[in-house]
Amino acid sequence: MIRLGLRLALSDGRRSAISVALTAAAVAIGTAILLFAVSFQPALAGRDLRQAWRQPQWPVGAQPRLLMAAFEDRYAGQPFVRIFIAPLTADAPTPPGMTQLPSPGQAYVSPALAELLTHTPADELAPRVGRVVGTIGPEGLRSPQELVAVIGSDRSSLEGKGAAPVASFRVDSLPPDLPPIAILILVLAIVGALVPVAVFVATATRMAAARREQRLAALRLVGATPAQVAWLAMVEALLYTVIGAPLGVALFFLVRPWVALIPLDGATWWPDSIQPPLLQEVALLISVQVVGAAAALVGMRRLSVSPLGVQRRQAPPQPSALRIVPSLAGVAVLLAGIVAFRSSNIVSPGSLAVLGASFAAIIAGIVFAGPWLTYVVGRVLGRIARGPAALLAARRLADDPRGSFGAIAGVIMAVFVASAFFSLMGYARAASLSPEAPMRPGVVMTATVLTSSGGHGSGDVLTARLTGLAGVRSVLPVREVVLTEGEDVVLYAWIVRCDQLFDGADAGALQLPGAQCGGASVHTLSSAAKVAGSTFTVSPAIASDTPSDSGTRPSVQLQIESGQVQSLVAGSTDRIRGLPDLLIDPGVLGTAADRFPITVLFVNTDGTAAAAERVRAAIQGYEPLVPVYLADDPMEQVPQYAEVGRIVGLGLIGSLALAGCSLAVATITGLLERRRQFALLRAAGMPISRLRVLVLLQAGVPLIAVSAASSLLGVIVAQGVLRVADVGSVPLPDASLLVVLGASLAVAMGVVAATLPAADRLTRPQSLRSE
Amino acid sequence: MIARMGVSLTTGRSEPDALGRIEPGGGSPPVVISAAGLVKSFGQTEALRGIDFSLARGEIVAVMGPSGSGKSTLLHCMAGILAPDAGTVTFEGRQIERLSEGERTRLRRTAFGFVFQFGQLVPELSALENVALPLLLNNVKRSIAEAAAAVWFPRLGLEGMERRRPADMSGGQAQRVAVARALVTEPAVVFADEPTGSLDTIAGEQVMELLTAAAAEQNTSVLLVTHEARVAAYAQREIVVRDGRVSGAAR
Repeated sequence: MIRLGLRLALSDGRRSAISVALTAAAVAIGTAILLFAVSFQPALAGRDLRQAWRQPQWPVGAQPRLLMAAFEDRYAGQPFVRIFIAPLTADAPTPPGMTQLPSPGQAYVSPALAELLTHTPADELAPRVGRVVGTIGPEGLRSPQELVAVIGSDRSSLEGKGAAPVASFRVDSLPPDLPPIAILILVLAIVGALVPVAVFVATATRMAAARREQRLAALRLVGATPAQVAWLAMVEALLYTVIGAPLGVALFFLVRPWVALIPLDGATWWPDSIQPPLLQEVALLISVQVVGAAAALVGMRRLSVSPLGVQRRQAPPQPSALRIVPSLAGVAVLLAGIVAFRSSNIVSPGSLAVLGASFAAIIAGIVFAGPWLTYVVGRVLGRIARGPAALLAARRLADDPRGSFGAIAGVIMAVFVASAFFSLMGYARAASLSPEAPMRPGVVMTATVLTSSGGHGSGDVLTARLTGLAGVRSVLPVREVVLTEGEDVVLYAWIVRCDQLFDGADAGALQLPGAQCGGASVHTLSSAAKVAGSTFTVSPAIASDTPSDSGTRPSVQLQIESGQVQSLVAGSTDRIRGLPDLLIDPGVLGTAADRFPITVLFVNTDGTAAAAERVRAAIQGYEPLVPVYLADDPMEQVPQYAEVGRIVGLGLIGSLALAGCSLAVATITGLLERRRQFALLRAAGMPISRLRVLVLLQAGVPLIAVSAASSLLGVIVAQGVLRVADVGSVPLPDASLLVVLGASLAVAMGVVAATLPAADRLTRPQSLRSE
Repeated sequence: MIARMGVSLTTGRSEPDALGRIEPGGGSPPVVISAAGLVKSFGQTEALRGIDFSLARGEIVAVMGPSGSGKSTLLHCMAGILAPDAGTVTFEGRQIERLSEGERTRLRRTAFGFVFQFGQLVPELSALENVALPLLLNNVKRSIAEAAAAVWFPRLGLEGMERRRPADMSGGQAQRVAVARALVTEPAVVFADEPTGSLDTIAGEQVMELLTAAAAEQNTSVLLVTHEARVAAYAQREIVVRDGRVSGAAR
């Protein structure tokens, strides 16, 4: 019986081979996507575990055995982690991936950093690392591309500089450093990718039904029972999944090296760390078979195979408008869930399960509502159709809305998910851009701890050193101070000349639209700073551990007259991120200004990357523990959202590929079903161009109409989620959504267009002879 | 009859009716389509082995013969559906086999009508829309095309069936709709391939009566392929095809 089923499935020569191949390919893509989804969590967890040791764990009841201080900044835009370790005892532990602790000045580096060091001029990177004595193994790294240096230090250099005492390295992981909304987006993305896959695997096996029905009828004629016919149909369905599922595993391993290159949370992956747990993998492969076979049986139940032929069991009733209820109910549950979980932890497993399930319900609801929309579209098109192709397409849509929608269901689901995500991503991107005064291109900044090791003179030494460096145009020192009135610290100020900070086409360090220095000597940056007519005590913002030359903390009295004060940006009320309340011209303080330590340096370079990195290396070569920022270093949040967006995008491309397979198979199947009809029409003089238009309209009209509806629903869902989550202002999706929608529909129509040569061949009037 | 005028303007016939049409009671009617030395093989099978045949304006000719004799192939070659391996088909002075596929498609659409044994009606379209379909394919406005199609329903005894789907009609009714569809463009020639093949005797006779009467009214020629003598009796002339050759003619 099994052999008979296989022979029947493959008996039709090339055409059935193509159909089997396409369906199996779609099952394979679906299986591979599912495997990646199953692997995602373990891979992320494994990665967090490998870097857990860097998170300091306060020793409880144990003797601290070493000091550790971790700094993350960048080299050439890539995150660069430097970890300083100073042993306190002889038995200080060694971090994973290393055989021993580096001595002071020595460093263990990640392979990627070792590689980079050999290609980088010595004055741009090496001073930040020290002498390399070994490499760190994968056990201590979160990703193969990670730039990490573990640098040996001593107790005196680290103590009091934010270093943490460590008794033993942490072996449990902290949750990944992603904002909750990004985690929510990822979970919804995975659901969004999986539901279409599941729906597809369930329907793919049914798609070749038209081809096999006549043969099954012939079998009934020679005496096969309905049960035997169902069994044959199941064998054929299993053919797709038995071929497709292992192909999916192969595809998984084939594309894994590339998937491993996709960063999440700033890091790529070791390919072999992306591995589904064996149990889940086996369960997945089995359930693909079960789902496929069950879907085939359900499909057979809808047909009655009599010895005289196959008929669809009664024309199903026209779909009713009630079909949109489930997806709307899903929207309601999703929004209600967010309201319910908003006050507690929105990314707890429980709330994510509820939100993910309701999102899945919305997608399934769209598939349920699709036939009704298709029916409505068919009726409307039928009324307004002028040409024969439009009329034929319209009548077909209204007549078989389930079948017509089935062909495009995958694309519709992908469009919905894309629309929801582009709205969420648009929000995430906007939310991560809080106002600030960005540095001018080519400017390098270092901040805040220059006093800590070198005392008062450190900033001056650096200013002198950097001024002579190749590619440096000017160095602007800033002295951070606090202004106190009585005992209260009231204002944070920079002692710096306003026109050097902001003025000029390329002279100023920062860009701030609307900034006007004018002739004032004190500038306020927020409306809260009311300083005119007051007298303050000015003292350094950062207390130095080492006493200054005089042995006391320098301070001066400053009286500010109203004539000296001017608002830097007229009408601004909010303090700008990264800027102080006040700018004080050094001239106001006279020689007293020099008594405050230089704590911030803006270095204006010639704009080349090499010059900027040279400056950074010079600073950290002198002061290892200070962070240095370049004007083009990306901001913290944006890369994470970009990465989440990229993963969502890849998931969408995957489900679109799958939807394309399904659309191609469904289009060809639809043509095969109506082959004789079209051949007769062509014999009677219908030009092939009209048939092409018919095929394109029949897929394209519902595709565009239902896509528009599901895209709108996606945007509404995302807006609802964001508004209910009460995250502040919510931007509407921008033109990039339209670009993505247009591209998706273009791909889908391309797939349909690709079937046109087959449409031509299948319906040649010459083929009537063989009937 | 505004609708029918609209139709005539768009059928693209190469000659106006006045040139080709003969007056009743005139002399020998002009030949509208003719075949000379038609040869057609499918692989090893020689379906036509040199057939000469012609059809006069307004004439109804039955092609008879056992199954596999090549009569359907003859119809397909004459109608420009198949290209013969050798020989020519001449329609209104033009050699059909020399036309491009597109030109032949256009010819079939504008100058020919077709009635097949079954399955030619589009199941999703109403009877009226099915009849109007060839006009729509000729770029006639939908309202005009449907009005022209509606004229046929009383003539064929199908009043009130305009909105029915083919699935809701009997076989005989569906074939009458097919006849209307073949004739609605006022073609020069109707090719009918076993038009009653799937009907019982009474329904078949009804269809043949309507086909021949309507064709005569429009002065349309009919090439009727059948294996039933009773159906062939509606023709003015019969030829018999056997093994790819014309083996005899009656009447």
